[in-house]
Amino acid sequence: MIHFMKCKTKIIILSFLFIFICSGCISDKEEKIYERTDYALGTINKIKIFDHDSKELLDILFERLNDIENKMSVNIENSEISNINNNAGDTPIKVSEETFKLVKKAVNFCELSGGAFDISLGPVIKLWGIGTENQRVPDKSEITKALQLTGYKKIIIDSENQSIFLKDKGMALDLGGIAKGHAADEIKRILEENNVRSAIIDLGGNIIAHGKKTDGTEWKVGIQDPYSERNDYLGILSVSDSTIVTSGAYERFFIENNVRYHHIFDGKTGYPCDNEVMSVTIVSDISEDADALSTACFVLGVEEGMKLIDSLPGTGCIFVTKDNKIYISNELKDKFQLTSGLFTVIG
Amino acid sequence: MRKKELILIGIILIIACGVYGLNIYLNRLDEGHKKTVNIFIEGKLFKSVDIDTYEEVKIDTEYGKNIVLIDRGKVRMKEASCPDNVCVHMGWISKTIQNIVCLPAKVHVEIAGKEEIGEIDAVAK
Repeated sequence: MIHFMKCKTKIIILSFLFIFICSGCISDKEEKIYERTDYALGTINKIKIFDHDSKELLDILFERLNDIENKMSVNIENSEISNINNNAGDTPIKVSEETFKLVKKAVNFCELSGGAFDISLGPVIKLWGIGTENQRVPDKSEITKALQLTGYKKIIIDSENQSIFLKDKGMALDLGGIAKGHAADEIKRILEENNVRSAIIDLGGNIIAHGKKTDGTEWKVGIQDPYSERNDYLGILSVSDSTIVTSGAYERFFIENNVRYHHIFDGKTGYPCDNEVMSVTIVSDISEDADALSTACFVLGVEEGMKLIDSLPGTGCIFVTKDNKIYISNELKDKFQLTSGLFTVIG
Repeated sequence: MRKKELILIGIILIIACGVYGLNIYLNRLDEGHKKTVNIFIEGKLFKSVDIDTYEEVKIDTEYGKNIVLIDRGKVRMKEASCPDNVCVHMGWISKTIQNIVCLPAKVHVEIAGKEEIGEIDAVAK
């Protein structure tokens, strides 16, 4: 029998030993990351949450992505957008508040960019079929016919009835240039509602750097090197609470007779946009905006694109041109670090 | 304090140090840059392969045929039945930030493991 004389001292000593043993049993604290990768919106999506441990939250987030795809995809037969398209020239279609707001905002960007961003290019996109098994270079006459069925000014938006109407039969909306942005904003909203302060979302290459890293430092987001086929980046952006969207001629394309045809169309010609731009990256706090603006700036080119971005507060851009030059808006100059020696930063 | 109590405290202390030391040792072993190649079909894990081996993983589904080649520290899509073969042109990957995707076949390949220090968090593309 052990006789405890000074109980308190011994209890304290034993408590410390106990704690010491326990600390040895707890494994090296590795940062818990809750992540999931899955298909939605026609691409691969990765959500990485650093400060929240709920599988249910990841379920909710991916459900939201599927919901948005069901409402807005042109590849889903009875999506709201398909309904609008199938009734072009015929009847206005009442849509959900979500779709209505997005189409309205998209048309605003069509106007702001003078048509460089144009959601009415559905007939042209379908004709070329880039990214599908039917991709081909159409005849000039086919392209001319398809162009006649485009024009964002012919999208009739009725706020009273929350309906969208396409004036001419054969017209078709394609929200490919803004739907991912919208989805990203929705993800961000849900994360905020659930008090998540540290997350990285990658929706097919559209990045949301939510909050900051758990150690308080900024996120490091690489910008794809347009000439590299792998995940190689030409530079790094240090950001927090930002969305980064890149539009590039290297993403979806096909090659016929040694000519590369990519997926960003010039609404004036009906052909893939052919200017000095290889890729443009937009940094903003609203993903819908960044998404629409990245397409708009690609088509506008460096000079006009830079002018447009400079006129929008809280938005920055990085252009990569075909002669390996990089143009950065003032907002981003101290956030960007060039890592590839193959490019020159001009200004 | 009695001698017996001192011995008891001493034993407990030795056990505590032992457990602690063992734990640190095991963690060091774990840090041996073990990277795993994870292959997913339609978002579900199909196969996990240690990146330091040599293995060809054949995939044949209604969406397409793919062959993933793991070759001692790097992995690539060796063959794919998709029309543009973008996944094949991606070439070799070896870092946790990189991945290979074949959208038509709904196949994607990731590398899991201790992330390299100074690694970036995402790539905008």
